[in-house]
Amino acid sequence: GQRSSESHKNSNQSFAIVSFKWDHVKEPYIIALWILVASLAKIVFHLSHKVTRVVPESALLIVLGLFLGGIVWAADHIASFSLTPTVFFFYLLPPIVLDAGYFMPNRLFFGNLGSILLYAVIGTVWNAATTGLSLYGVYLTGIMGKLNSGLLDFLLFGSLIAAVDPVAVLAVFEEVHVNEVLFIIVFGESLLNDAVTVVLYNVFESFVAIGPMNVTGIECLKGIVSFFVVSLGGTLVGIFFAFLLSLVSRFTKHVRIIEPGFVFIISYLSYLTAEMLSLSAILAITFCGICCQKYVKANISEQSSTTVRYTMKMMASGAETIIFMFLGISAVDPDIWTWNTAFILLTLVFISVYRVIGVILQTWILNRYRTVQLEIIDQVVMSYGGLRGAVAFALVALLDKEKVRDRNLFVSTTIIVVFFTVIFQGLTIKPLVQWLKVKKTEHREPKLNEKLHGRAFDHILSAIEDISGQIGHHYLRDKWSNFDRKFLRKILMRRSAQKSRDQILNVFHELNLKDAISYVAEGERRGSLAFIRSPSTDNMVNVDFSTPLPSTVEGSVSYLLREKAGPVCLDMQALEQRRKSIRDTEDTLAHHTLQQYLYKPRQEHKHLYSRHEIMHSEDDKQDKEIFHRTMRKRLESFKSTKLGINHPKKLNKIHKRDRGQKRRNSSVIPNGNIPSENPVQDFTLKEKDLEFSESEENNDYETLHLGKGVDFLANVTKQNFTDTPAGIDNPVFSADDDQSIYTKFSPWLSGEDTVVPSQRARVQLPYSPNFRRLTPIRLSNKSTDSFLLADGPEDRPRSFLPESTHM
Amino acid sequence: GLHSREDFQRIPELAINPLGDRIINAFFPEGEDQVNFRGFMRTLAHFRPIEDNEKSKDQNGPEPLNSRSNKLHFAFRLYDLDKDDKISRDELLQVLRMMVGVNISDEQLGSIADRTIQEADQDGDSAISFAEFVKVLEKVDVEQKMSIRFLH
Repeated sequence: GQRSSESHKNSNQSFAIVSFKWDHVKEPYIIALWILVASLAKIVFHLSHKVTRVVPESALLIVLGLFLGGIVWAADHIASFSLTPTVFFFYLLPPIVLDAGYFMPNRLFFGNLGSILLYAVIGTVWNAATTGLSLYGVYLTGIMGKLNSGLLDFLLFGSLIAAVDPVAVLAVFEEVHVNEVLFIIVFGESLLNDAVTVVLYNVFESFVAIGPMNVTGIECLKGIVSFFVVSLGGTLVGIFFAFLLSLVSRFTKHVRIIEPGFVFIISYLSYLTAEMLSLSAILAITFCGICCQKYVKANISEQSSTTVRYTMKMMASGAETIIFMFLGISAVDPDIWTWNTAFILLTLVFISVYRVIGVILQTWILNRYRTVQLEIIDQVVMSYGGLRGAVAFALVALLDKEKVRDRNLFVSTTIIVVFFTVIFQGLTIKPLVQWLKVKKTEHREPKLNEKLHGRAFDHILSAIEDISGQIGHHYLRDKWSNFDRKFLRKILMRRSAQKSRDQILNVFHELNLKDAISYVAEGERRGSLAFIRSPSTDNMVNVDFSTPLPSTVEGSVSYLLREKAGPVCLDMQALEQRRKSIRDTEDTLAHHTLQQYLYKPRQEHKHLYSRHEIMHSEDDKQDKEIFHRTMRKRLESFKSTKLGINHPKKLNKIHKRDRGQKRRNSSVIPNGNIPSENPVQDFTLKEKDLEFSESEENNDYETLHLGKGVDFLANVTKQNFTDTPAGIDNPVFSADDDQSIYTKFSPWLSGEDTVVPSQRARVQLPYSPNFRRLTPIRLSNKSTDSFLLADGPEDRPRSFLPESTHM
Repeated sequence: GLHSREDFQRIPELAINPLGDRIINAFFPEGEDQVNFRGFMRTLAHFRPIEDNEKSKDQNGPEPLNSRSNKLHFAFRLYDLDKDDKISRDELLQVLRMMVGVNISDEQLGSIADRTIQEADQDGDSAISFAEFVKVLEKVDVEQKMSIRFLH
């Protein structure tokens, strides 16, 4: 101000050394400031764990927005900041939807696609129609007073308020861990209903514009047709760009640094292209993410993959934060506020009631066709979790005041509806779910037997489901896998990636890597050998680095429970109940221990999606433990039936031979890549599937491991195998182990023992193309860690296999 | 066609199911390594949901495979490896160990097993017979927990 004007006065005479150029930087500065404020707010919220456990973050952000908006308004008396639809639709929404699509659990999604589509399409249409018509009906009775709207306006309003919002749903469901089927249905619904919303919105908006007189049957028909065009068109655009993206990622071997960029740019282009063609942009970017996942993850390097994941999460999380904050800020705008009690109240009532009715009806229909039924508690969560959010707000802000005379009323109502659902429903959904879950099991205390056998039943049922699903051969899924294998992979995946695409080996490998890395980490933490000597319960070199055993302190059992209580922890209630009855603490402890440590059945334990974290689920640990154990047993039974005697000595030979090879062939390439190693020469390979071409340079050390492991695999599974690697004796796994082997290979040095043998142990599982993806664990989970750990051995000659790669 | 154990073991989800291998064994008749379709369906038939009209239909005929009693028997057989119609402490311990992580010590597991047997045992033989098994689970909704609705 002062200075610049002064210097301005003197500008003819002298040179201004410094000047305050606010206008120059105003726009980007303000944007950056808002982002900073939002992020700082998040830090502040999470300082208080108590608050965040009760109040969902989205609610807090809205309140903050209100507060800030109030300040701005008080200072300026103008509402200078608000969530403009342009910014929302172009910059804030795409990252969130892309994040959702890219991390979508595909198997679950497509498995439940029927239900999802039903809810998304029929459900949304139902909501829109009933809400709009009811409001119109009530309007006709005159309770609402004088409004300038006709039937079409009400229908327009109904259509934009009907849609369940992906942003809000995700934000709330993160706090409430529901079972995976329920989650995917609500989540999928919120994503897919965009097509319906867009169509309905556009249709009714143009109807309102052209006037109710001109709406003929033709127009309605056009509307219906446009629904199909918009939705299918959007999906096709998404798939096309996914194809493009996968193709591009195949060739980015030499430009690793900008690999992540492609993912974002091409996905964003799909969004914009669909928008340009007036198709459903959300569907486009969703399907782009869904379809490209697999190929992109296979093609790009681990570092790029990590970068992509983190960046996506960051952008999505940031966008969500800003959205909610601005929702709050935009509310503080007296110009738009129009209050009509009846309208607002009735809207709230109608959307809730009709959603419940809709859900019940549709679930009733669905349950006749579904294998896994949707129960009452699921339906309650579905109805209650149908939140409206920023999409509705943006759509209503887009309305033209000239065409829709009651625009301000609609805006105000939408704001209130959004606030209500996000804040009130968000706050209460967790206690509601808790109460319901408890109610189901509350009527009496379950006995130890019931718990144990009940859990066994769950496991049995999961297994039978898997067996019947697998052996029943899902026709479509098989067809898709075949198509994928024959054509798509050849085009879209890098050749090296194609070969190592056995998901099970990947998962397994991943688990072993984690294993090995944990060994090192643990060893470092506890000081070299401490963990070797820890008593292990099943002959595994078992590192007990998880939570400490619940020590037998009577009073602190409940304290322990409180500490460990997850989002919805049933044990709390059980414990409270038990305290009322006369039971000794040992009994309580037994119950608690069982509850705590029983493996969770499949339905419960997968937390699929999180906006705020990359999921390193502890359930991996459960899977890993069970997997090890199963494999060990199978290996032992296999050994005893086919091999007879152990050949511990052979193990040394094999190891030595491998080491020799490694030393011979390996060299360190500066960017950390490892040339393809192929011990194939020494082993007979009978299955052609397992051929690894030496020509293709392979800087995926995943394949490296795989090569070794699969070799052993191939050899052992042959009925008529040669005697070379017959001695698959694994110091880690065999019960009657030879101590000499064990001491030779200290596990923390050559995690090889945990890597290779484990793969070897999978003797019964030859390479089979029809596996469904177990868990989409990516090798790159450990990339960052491996770099931390890699600093030491990087310069040593790479004599030991795993050390050189992931430490 | 015939299925062998390997076919089942190829199913990835079973590898991370604590009771996976035992369930696979349940499909195979005693001592054999192959199961034909009929045998396979017999085992799966245990998991059909119980329908009401079936209950009243046939009081004198053989009990349908998916009755509550047979469902429980299926589970019982998973525990009872030596087929003596009792779940001994050791057998229970084995199952417990399978179903629980590695963080529980043997003593704790032993005490849990003891309590479990204590809860169910009525004739004092420190083992759970099938009748005791049924009795202790009388309040559990077995019909719902052990039923799958198969399409077609």
